[in-house]
This record gives sequence, C-alpha cells and structure tokens, in this order.
Amino acid sequence: MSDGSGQIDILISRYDPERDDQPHTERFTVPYQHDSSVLDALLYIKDRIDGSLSFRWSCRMAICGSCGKMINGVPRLSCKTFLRDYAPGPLHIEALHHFPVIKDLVVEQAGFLDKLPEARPWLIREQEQALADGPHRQSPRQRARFASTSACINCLLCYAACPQYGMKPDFAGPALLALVERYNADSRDQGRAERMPLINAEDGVWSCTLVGNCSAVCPKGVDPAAAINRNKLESAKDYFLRFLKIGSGGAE
Amino acid sequence: MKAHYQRPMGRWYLRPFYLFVYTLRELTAVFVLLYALILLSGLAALAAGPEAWASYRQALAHPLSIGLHGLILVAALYNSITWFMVAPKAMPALFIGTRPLPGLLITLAHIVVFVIVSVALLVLAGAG
Amino acid sequence: MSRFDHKPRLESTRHDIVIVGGGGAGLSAAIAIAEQHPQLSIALVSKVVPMRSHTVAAEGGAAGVVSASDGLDLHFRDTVVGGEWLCDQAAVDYFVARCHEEMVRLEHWGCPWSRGEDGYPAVRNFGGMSTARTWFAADKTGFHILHTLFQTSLRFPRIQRFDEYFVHDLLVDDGCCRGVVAIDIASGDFHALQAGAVIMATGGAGRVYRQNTNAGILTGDGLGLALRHGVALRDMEFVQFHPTTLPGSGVLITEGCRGEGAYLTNRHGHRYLQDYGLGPEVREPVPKTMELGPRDRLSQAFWHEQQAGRTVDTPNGPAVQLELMHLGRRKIAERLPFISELAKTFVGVDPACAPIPVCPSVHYTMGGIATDITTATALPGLYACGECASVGIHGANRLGSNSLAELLVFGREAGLQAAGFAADQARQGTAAALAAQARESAARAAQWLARPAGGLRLAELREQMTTAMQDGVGIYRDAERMASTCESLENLSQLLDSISLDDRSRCFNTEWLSAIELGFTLDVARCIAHAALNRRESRGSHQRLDGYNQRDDDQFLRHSLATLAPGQPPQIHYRAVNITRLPPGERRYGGGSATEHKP
Repeated sequence: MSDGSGQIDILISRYDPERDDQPHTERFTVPYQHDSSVLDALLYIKDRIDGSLSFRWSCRMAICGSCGKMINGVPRLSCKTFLRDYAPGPLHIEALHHFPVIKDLVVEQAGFLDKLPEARPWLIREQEQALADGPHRQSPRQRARFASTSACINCLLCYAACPQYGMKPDFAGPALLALVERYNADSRDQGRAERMPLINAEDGVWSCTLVGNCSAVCPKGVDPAAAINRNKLESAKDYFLRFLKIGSGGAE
Repeated sequence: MKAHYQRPMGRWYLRPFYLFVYTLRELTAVFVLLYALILLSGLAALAAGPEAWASYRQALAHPLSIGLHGLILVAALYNSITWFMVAPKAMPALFIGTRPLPGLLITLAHIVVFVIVSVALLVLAGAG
Repeated sequence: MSRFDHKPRLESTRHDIVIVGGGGAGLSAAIAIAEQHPQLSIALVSKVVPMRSHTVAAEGGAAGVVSASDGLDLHFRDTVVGGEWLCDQAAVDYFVARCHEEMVRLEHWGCPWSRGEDGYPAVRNFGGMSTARTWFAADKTGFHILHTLFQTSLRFPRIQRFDEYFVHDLLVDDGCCRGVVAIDIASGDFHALQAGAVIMATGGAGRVYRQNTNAGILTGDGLGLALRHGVALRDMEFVQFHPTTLPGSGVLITEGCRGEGAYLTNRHGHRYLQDYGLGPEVREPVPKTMELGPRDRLSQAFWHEQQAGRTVDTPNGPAVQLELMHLGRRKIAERLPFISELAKTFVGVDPACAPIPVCPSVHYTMGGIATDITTATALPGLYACGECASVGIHGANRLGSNSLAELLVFGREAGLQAAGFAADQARQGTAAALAAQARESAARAAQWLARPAGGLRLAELREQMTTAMQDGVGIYRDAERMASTCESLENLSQLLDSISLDDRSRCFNTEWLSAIELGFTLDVARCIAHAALNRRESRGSHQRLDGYNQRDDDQFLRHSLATLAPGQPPQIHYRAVNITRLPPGERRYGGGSATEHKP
C-alpha cells in the first residue's frame, strides 16, 4: 500500500485475432496519483503509449457496467479500482475470464445478451392497467424486496467469478437469474409462472453449486448467489406441485 | 471473420484462493459421509448382537480409528462453518422494515446454535 | 501479416426505421413504434450495448407534475423562466402536458420509483422548480429508467438490435434521409442500413470539454452527422455547467442532494449563495431559493467565489463544500446511496461525516440538432430526440430533471412521427444510389487505416481541443478568449488529416472509432465557440465579461443556428423564438431582493 503518487508497472494480456493464436503479456509503466484508477492507467497507455490497446469503458463512475477486467486474477470494475492499492506493482490485467476474447481486454458478451429475453425481464400483468388509472401502489417495504436485485448493472463480473459458468457456458448464470428474481420479487408482477422454465431448466438454478463468489465480486451488492439459491426452493416446490398434479390425474 | 480466444479453465479449483476454500468445502463432505457410514455400521453391529457390538467398539478404540475421527471432526467443522457462511444466501430473504437482515448476523446465529447444541449433547453424553 | 486476409465487407439490410442510439430517447422511440406500429421493422443501432448508454448515469430524477397544488402552468413557467425565455413555448407546453403520463407509463413497465408510505411514487424538490415534482428512484433514476426501457424493449422481436455498431455516415438520396452506414465494431466490417426514416438519439457532446460529467461515448456523433448533411445545430453556445461535480474527474454529485436539503458552503463555512441573489438563508429546502436555485446561477456563483479566493483547494483544483451531514445517515442511505458510494470511492469522504468537495463541470448540451416540435429536422426523413436534439424546451439554461422527462416525451414523439413518415414513403428506385453512397462512405472511413505512420497522435489533438474549449468557452466568456478558441479549433480541424493511428487492424479497433469521433467532436466544438462569440449578450448559461454582460432581448432574444460548409468556419444565423403566452420578464430566484451579482 502507498498513499502517494509514483510509477507502477502494469502487465496487460494482449490478443490480436488477426495475428495471434493466443494472448501474450506486455509490460507498460505508467505514472499514478492518489486517485488514479486502473481505467485511468489504461487510458494513459492508449493515449500516450500504444493506441492499439482495446478495452471497453464509458461512464467512469461505476454505473454503466462496461469496464470489467480481471485485475490480479479478480474480476473488478477498472474505474472503481485504484492503482494506489496495488503499488509498487506489478499489476496484471486480463480480459474477464470465462468469456471468449475478441481482442485484448474485450470479451464477447453475446452469451449473456442473447439469453436475456429468456428471463422475461419485464413486468407481467394478467390485466394491464390503463395509463389513466395512474401508477400501481407499492409500499416502500414491498419495493425493498427487489431493491438489491434491481441494482444489477450487467457488468458480468459475476460470470467471470463463477467456475460453473466457465465449465458450462450454457448456464444462465448469476446476473440473469438475479434478474428473474428481481421481477418475481416485485409486488406488481404476476409473471412468476412464465419464468419458471428458465429457473427449472438444466442450465437454470440447479447448475449453481453455491460457490458464492458471484456475490463476493459484485460491485453493486446484488447478491446473485442468494437470488439463485432462494429459487432452488421455488423450483423444488414447483416440481413437487406439478408432480402432485400429474399424480392425481391432472391432465396437462 | 471472428477468431475468438477461449481461455482454458486450467486448475480453477486450486487458484485463486477463494475457489480452493470452496473446493475444500465440497471435499470435506466426503468425510461427513464417511462418518455417517461409521455410525450406520455401528447400528448394524448393535442389531447383529452383543459380540458384533463389542468388536465394533473395539475397532473404534483403535488408534487409527481415533486418528480418523480426529480428521473427520476437523473436516466436519470446516464443512459446517463454511456452509454457515453461505447460509444467508440459501434461505428466504429476511427484512427488518425496508432493510435486509445482514448476512453476517444469520451466519453468527447459526454458529451460536451449533455451539449450544454441541455443548448440550456433550453434557448429555457425559451425564449418560 | 494478417492471419486472414480481411477485406472490409459491406453488408446491406433494409428496415422501416433506423434509430441511432440506444439510450433513453432511442429506446423510448423504439418501444413506441413497436407498440403502435407492430408491422414496422425497427433497427436499433448503438456503438454500445443499450444499457451502457449515458442515460444510465442520470441520478436525481425526472419531472412530472403530480400534486394538486402544482399545475402544468407552473411547470411551464419554471421551464421558460429557467431557460431565460429562449424556449419554444409551444414545445414546452407540449412537453409539460405529457411528462406525468410518461412517468406512469414507466411505472407500468416496472420502473422502481421511490415510494411514499401511501404506496404512490414520491417526488422531490429540484433546482428552479416551484414545487416538488421530480420523480426519482433513489439517486439512480437514470439507471433505473434505462434498464426498465431496455428490458421492456426485449418484449418486442420487431426491435432488431445492432449493438456495438458505430454509425459514421447518413445515407441521403433525393433530399431525404434514407439510412445510415455503420462499422460493425467487432469485425470492422461495414453495414449499410437502409430505412424509410432515421431517428438520431445519440446524446450530447460533453466530451468537447476537458472536465465534464459525461461518459467517454458522448462525442457528439449525432450532431456531427446532421451538421455534415446540412442540418443546422441550434443554440449550441448554451452549455450547462453542473454546479456539483467532483473536482478533476467531473463525476456527477446529483442536484437531488440539494433537493433533499444539502448546503453549499465556501472555505469559511458560509452558505455563499445568499450573496448572489438566491437568499434568504433557509435551513429547510425552499423551492427556487439558495441551493435550489438554477444550475447556471449556482455555477456562476462558484466562479465568483473562486475569483474572491473563498474556495477550498483540492489536489484537483478549487472546490466548495457540499454538506449533507445534517441530513443524517439514515436519510442519506435511503435517498442518496449512490452519492454515498461515489463520495467514498472517488474522494474518500463519507458524506454522513464530512462535506463533499464539489465544483462545476460541463454537464449538458442544451443546444442540438434543430427540430420542430414534432422532432422533425430540416432534412426530410431525419428525426432527432433527447440530448442530441434541440426541440426547444431548454432555452438558455435547462432545469434539472427536465432532460429525463424529455427523453421519454420526445423519444416517443420521434418514434411515432418517424413511423408515420416511413409508412408514407414509396421505397423503390433508390437502392442502387444508396448502395453506391454507402460504398463511397465506407471507403472514406477505411482510409484512416491506410494512413502513413509518424503523424500526430490522436490524443494530443483531442487534448488541445478540450483545453481550448475549457479556456475559452467556460462559465464566463469574453471575445478575446473565444476568438482565440475559435482560431485554435479551426487549426486543429486542419490537422485532423495529419493524425496517424497505431492500430491498423479492423477487429475492435477503438482507436479508429476515436479518430472518426474526434472529427464529429471538433465540428461540434467549432459550432459552440462560434455561436458563443457571436452572441453579444449574457443569458442563462452564456455569460460574458466584456461589456455584453446584460441580457439584450432586442438583439438576441433569438435562437442561433450553426451550419458548416467544408473548409470554412461555421456560419451563425438567427431565428425568432416562438413566444406564445409568457412575455419576457425578469428572472427572479430566492425570496429576497432581485439584485443580481454581475462582475
């Protein structure tokens, strides 16, 4: 730890699909101040040393979810991680684990994005309320039930932290299952049944072995591990109820 | 035109450290199972008659058995405590008003109950 | 050598509507079309995945009249007075009448608005507003609005997303906008999207300045694109400085803090706003008074405090203190949790214990692509909404919480208008011409990759631009510095062709995109600087020190319109303001005398 300023060595895992078969590491030395973030260092390198370094970033304030990287092996938002905490270095930056790498620190997110509609992440009502009838009512206590799961910024750090996702890319994964829980726990929503297939699926909650690391790395306190494991109970209940229905001759 | 690089998983169960903690949690379950089998065989010996029961007790007193039990105790403690640590994630959400009950509190409650029950059992066993 | 020979390909697709930008405005437009015209195909093109768009960073809230004691007329007056009469009053009337409905619509889509004990959405005070009418979701309102819109958009398969496609040109044929040309960022291939109508929803251009609250993506692409196709930018000299941002980084500390009752103090602990016509000093928040004054006045007051040496020094420059301590930890945790997180993370301050150092930074582009009240631009088939547009509701100074509402009201309007236009269009006969245009444009963009090495560094040019803007077109302006900025910018735009890139590859080449962006940003900067130099008065966020320090309605109660011809400095023209019912008058805040502090 150091509180001042200085220089720090940064090792970056580089990959250019047009030239490389696999990534290699390059070393850069950058100056830092007390408040310099890892993102500041990456921007410094891109602007002044090597413009070919590719990485995603946008808001700089830990809300857009673009800039997740592996920093010394731990998934973190680079805008919210400070160089002073890694002095004197070296600091190793890689693309988020478990995702295919497009270039340098940029990963392919389609695996997550394409699955989003399966969570049916919108408010489902048996009967939609007319605009003229005004807003639904919801107490602050009811709102609190999904306050944490609705805070997900889709930064995908939880996927990079989850070994199950690493081994099973079809696993719905922490953020997606937390999103399911966000709508299921919303007092205005009536769509739980529509979301059960994703929860019950082979790649749904039962692919989670409660490593718990997703919640540990979450920069927004979402606690996806809790969201998933609470739904194991729901899934078991759902299975049991369906079993009873069929057992009693319920035609379905 | 895309040639994405897919990083191999490697020995993810050893490193980083938090994954090793998880791996141990899962492995220690084997010792818990082993202890359940030992108890079960005791039950079988009891059913088979006084002779079988006596030889079962004799086997338990063997230094190797005592060593094994020590190992099982450590493993079971590790297994229990690491599960208590993730217990807040496996149970229904609890709230005080609009604030979620802190997970640490739930873990501590588990540990306290665990200690009380263990001590009570030991006292009961001693009294018996 | 390349492992695979990668000749740039040019794909081509047809859609009824192409929307450029996936933030609040673009998503509102897309959903409105999908709901109302399910037969139309929609392409939603964005250089980032929609939930990364900068709407995500809005904190404080969105305006919508709710209470019986409030009224549309009050919201109208606050907005027009706040904009110092440079607002299109018909547009403001249209806007305020629809805000509430849009807030309710979002509620029906699941937006987690903060609630009162009665279960109805709560509202908070905001600067320059006569009463509490700002809907909020804690202090992450933009985040929740954006995610609600994005997730709701997933219900509609007719919305086809082109995530991480960078639009670098418009297709224009027969005087009509007929689509866009984009780079598929992941592959570097080109993609022409032909359409019956195009909606620009690309956000602002805060990156024109060095210290700003904006995300890296806010490079004014939409404004630059429109400008190059002959569409004027309106009122560009009006750039909003948000008074409370972190020194250096410019990270936004929401006005919601002051809405909840925070104080601004100088180095002596004095609530200095009472010295700038915003008093009397009140302990509890009173609308339009003290810390609830409008943003332009607050940023200007900071400037005076700085000149007088009454600011606090921080490693990143002068600051004043935003005090939340008296609100208590509980209220901060409930209403301002994100601010608490930002302050702890970025300046190591727990706002329940100590004041947050803050200073003004560039925040919002009040001008933009000139549109009429229906969001139509002068180029048929091209519509614009959100921060990139100037539909005329913000005038010379935007009130906080009007912009999130604007995204929804005018995003929807743009969607429906563009749908109507596209449905009317006969779409035959132009495909060949458009394809040729797309090929030519793609070849031009690809030239960046073929330039010889050893030229100027991109970042150097960008830094010179942002420095010139920061120095010359700040909170207070004078002719000499503005003229010097104009000159620097003209020189810099000549140098654009001397840049050479380190990265000649195609796959996810963000340096290439930055170079194209810089071209747009520079054009926008030139328009801002020239429009500012030409406005010889002081109004709203445009304040001059060189003898033009009063408002001059006779000469300048007019919109500026900036156009750009190749190889020439921007041309500035003026057009009358649409004043329907509130004649210009004195702009008064605070409860005391109306003495204005002028340097």
